[in-house]
Amino acid sequence: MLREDGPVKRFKRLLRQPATHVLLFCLSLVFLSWPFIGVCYLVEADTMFIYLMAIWMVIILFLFWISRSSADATEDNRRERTEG
Amino acid sequence: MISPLTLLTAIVLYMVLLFAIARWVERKTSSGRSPAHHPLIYSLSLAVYCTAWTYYGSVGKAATSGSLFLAIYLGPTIVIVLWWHILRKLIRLKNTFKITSIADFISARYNRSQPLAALAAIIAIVGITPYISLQLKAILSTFALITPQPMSGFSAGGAAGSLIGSYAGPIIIGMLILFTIVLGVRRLDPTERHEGMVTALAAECLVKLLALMAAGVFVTYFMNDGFSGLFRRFFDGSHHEVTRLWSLGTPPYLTWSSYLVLSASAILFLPRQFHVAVVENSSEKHILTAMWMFPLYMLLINIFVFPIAMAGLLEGHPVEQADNFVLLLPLEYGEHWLSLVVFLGGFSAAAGMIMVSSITIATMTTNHLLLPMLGWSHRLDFLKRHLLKCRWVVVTGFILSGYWFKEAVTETYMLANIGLISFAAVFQFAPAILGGLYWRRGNAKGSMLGMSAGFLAWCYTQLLPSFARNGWLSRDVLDSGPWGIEFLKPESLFGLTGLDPISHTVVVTTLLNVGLYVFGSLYFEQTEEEQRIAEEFVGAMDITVPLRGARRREASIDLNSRLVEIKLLLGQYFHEREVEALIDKSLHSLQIAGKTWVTVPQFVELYGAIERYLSGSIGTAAAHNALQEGIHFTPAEAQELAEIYAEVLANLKVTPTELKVRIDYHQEREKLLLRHARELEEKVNELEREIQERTRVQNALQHSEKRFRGLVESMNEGLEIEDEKGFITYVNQKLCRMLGYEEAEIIGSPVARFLDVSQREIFERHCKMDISGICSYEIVWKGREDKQIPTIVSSVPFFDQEGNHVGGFSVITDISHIKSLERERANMVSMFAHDMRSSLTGIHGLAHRLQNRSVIMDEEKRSEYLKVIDKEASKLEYLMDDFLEFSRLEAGRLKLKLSTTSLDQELRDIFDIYQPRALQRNLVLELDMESELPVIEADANRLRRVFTNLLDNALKFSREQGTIKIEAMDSAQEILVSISDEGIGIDPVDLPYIFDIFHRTRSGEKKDGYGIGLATARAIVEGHGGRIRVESELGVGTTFRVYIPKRAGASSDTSFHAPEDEQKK
Repeated sequence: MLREDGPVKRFKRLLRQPATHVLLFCLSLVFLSWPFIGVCYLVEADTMFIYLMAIWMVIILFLFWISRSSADATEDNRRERTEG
Repeated sequence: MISPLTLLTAIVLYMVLLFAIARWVERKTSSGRSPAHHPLIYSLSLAVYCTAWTYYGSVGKAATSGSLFLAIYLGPTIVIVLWWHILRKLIRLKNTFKITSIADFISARYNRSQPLAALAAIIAIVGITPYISLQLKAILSTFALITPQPMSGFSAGGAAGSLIGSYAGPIIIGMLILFTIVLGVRRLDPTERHEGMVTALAAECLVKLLALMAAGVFVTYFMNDGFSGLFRRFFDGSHHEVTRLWSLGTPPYLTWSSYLVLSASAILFLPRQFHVAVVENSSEKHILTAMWMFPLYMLLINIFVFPIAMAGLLEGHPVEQADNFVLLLPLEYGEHWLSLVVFLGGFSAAAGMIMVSSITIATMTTNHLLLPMLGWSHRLDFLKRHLLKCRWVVVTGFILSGYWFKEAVTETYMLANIGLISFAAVFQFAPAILGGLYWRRGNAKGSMLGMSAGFLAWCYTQLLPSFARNGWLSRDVLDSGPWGIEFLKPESLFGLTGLDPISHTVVVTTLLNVGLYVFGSLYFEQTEEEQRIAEEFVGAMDITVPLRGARRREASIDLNSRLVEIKLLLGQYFHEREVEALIDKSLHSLQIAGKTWVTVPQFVELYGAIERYLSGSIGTAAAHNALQEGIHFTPAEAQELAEIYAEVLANLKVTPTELKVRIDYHQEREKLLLRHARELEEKVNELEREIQERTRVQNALQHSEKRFRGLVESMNEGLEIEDEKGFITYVNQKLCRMLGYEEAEIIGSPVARFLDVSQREIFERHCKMDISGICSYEIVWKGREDKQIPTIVSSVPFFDQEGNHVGGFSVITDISHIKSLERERANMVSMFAHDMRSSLTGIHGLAHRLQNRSVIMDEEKRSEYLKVIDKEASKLEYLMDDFLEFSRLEAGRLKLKLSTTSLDQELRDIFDIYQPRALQRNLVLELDMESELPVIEADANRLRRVFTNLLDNALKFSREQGTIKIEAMDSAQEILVSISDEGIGIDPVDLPYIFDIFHRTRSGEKKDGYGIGLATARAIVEGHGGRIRVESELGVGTTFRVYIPKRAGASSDTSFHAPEDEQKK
């Protein structure tokens, strides 16, 4: 029987999906390459710096969430296996 | 400026500190608590990616190419998103195949191909050498910058400045070599894991981050007004190129993308990155922490790159010096301490990279180049036992070649450009590795084709131009192409113009490498072995089907002969002790230790275990080849093995539905197994409880046995236990004393040994009898020196459940004393009869004379005869009295006639009677009595008999001029009368029996009497409710003490307390 999960749990489950990782990889690649980089090139130089740093931080934030959710899942699996 | 000596001292101290950290971690690891097994250490160690190129070169790149340098760190950040899938798989395969390097990985995936491993090793060596030179260039150029005199290399010994400064280059190179060997190549480790080195590396990474951030904070906030102020100042000036992505006018997105691709590949496929990320990993879970911590590290280490680059340019430094801005700016502002810290940070960045890269190159070179070469020529076989020393030589050679490259080539390049050359080299690993992980069709030939082509293209497009720029080749090769063929121009190969050199290399090598890899893999068929390995690699994260799951086979392989082969093989690489330990460990882990015959699957598993261990030391390919040469399967075994593989593969080929059913089945089975495990656990608990109960019972039994043994040992009877054949199995100390033998002399001897022939018959007769029940009988034992010991034996037989006689035990009572008394009694009766007969004969003869000669006999003669008759009659009467007394005693009919008796009067009368007799014998008789003893109820005549008896004995056994004392004392309930003499005393042997009837002492020469007197005395005294005690010392004298209660029949336990030895009696 399916359990009713809260949005946090659903978000964590989403972050654990391999497809989510692939999606994040693709998005990161897109946001850090042409055409977005080309657009930034046209604006002020400090904007470019801020843009790159911001994207970088967002990726790190997502990586942190992915890491935590995967760690929780690993721990849950281990516990389930232990408890049988 | 800082003096060279100070700087070198700081470097040495820093290295010593790192070494101390590494040693501490190694000690902790050996005790099972490794601090290196921590995600933080793992994440920090990955930052070995940030080398001197990052530390110094990023600023240089930022100053010349704006934001382009960020692609070197954004590429890894993007690919790290997929690490939980890619890196985890790599680590899992590393653990399965005991992989030790990136070349080993490629070789393991592609059928353990040795040529492929050798090619990968060559690519790594050639590709990383420029990178090493880059690090050395950074260290030595910054050393020159921070010290007052110019730096000099091997050839510049005579330059100005101090001697240390002149030779700083070789000194630093030497220290780096030493540091690398001590930290990372101190011993051969099959796992190629170095917890100490990794922790030291993590510490270095932390130092370089903090040092660069310190420099950044100083430049941004102390030299300038922070980020916004610095940016404002900069853009007000004329340096707009900085912070733009590129400044060269080439298509921007292609260069940026090339950097992203190269760096994304380098983060895992640089040999040092593969080593720290895969080989040194101790837990897959550490990847999760590294996934966010390592990108964060890269962000932090780059956050001040732009400010430093801008500040350097604003200070008016030429852009060519941009690589040194990090160190130059604090130095110019006189911040020597900060400069020193920044230098050490840069040194950390370079040294960490050199150390890890050298270790991996040494491993690859020995395993994949040296060992195969040794296989060609057996004359160098001895080197197999010196692999460690070979690695030291490789480390030294590799670092020195990097130094040579630095001297020869890199002076024409900026740091960042050199780094990119190496990135492009290791990019050639990417198709083979990624294809190997996810494409089952990828095979060794395709991989060899792709990597070879990619590597050659890299050499042509990157290495060749660097040689041309350095003047080793004509620049025409660059400008017009070889032999003037523009189509072959190294930097615009196949007419690819308009690309920057790195992008050009990326495009060309990717096309060739990937194209040929795919083509080769599709064109050439995989062998069955290749298919199996490919299946294992691609399905590494799936459920594995163990070989032992195949149908059960018969044990047909002689394990001992195979172990000889294995020992011979391993003996080429390891010492005998290690070989024994390894084989023992493998046999135990496979649960075949002690077996003589094993099945084919069991032997294949052993083969695999040995191969995995050997792979850890010499690489997968070399190990595979060594095993193939050293251990052979017979055709029958190979056939059986093929059948097993076929069976396993057949089992694997199932439809998705079937697979789901099987998984469900296995899950169900797992649940069942878990339940079974729980039941087993309960049974174990039950068994534990049973064991506890048994232990308790056992303890109780032991306690009981102890008590029984104490009882048996303390009993006054002898005891022996014999088995069914009549051999004695147990004997107590009493019987040992009785027989006069030690326990050890008796145990195990037959009972018959202690019996004469006649007694043996009795014993055997009773033995046969006692099988049917308990019986007692008399038997004479034969002790030491043939001493005869009469005994009464009570035997109890033992029977088993079937009723068979299994032995018995006998309680043996020594009746020597009883027998002695019996003899005495017989003698006494004989003597008694003889004495009576003598007296009667005398009386009869004299009476006859008086009757026949009374007429002629004179009066005097008659009177003499009558006196003799009277005397003999009295003697007879006395004898008869004694006899009657004895009879009464024996019958227990001694009756006392109690009357009021004055004991002092009685004693005085006796004294008066015995005084003359004592004088006659030249003895002194003394009476010491309290003034007036109370009158008591007693049989006066009997008491008189007691005292006279004692005095008779005293007179009889006293020596001349001795003293006999009669003493009397009064207490509340008793009167004590003691008679002591200074006679010959009583033998201690006789003392316990002195009051026994018919007992006569053996110590004195005077043996007249019948042994009745003292027995009678005791009977009389005890008849009055009193007690009699004796105390005697041989040669000193004897004292008898008589305790008479004041009231007849009163208990005699109180009042006078006899000495201890008397109490025992």
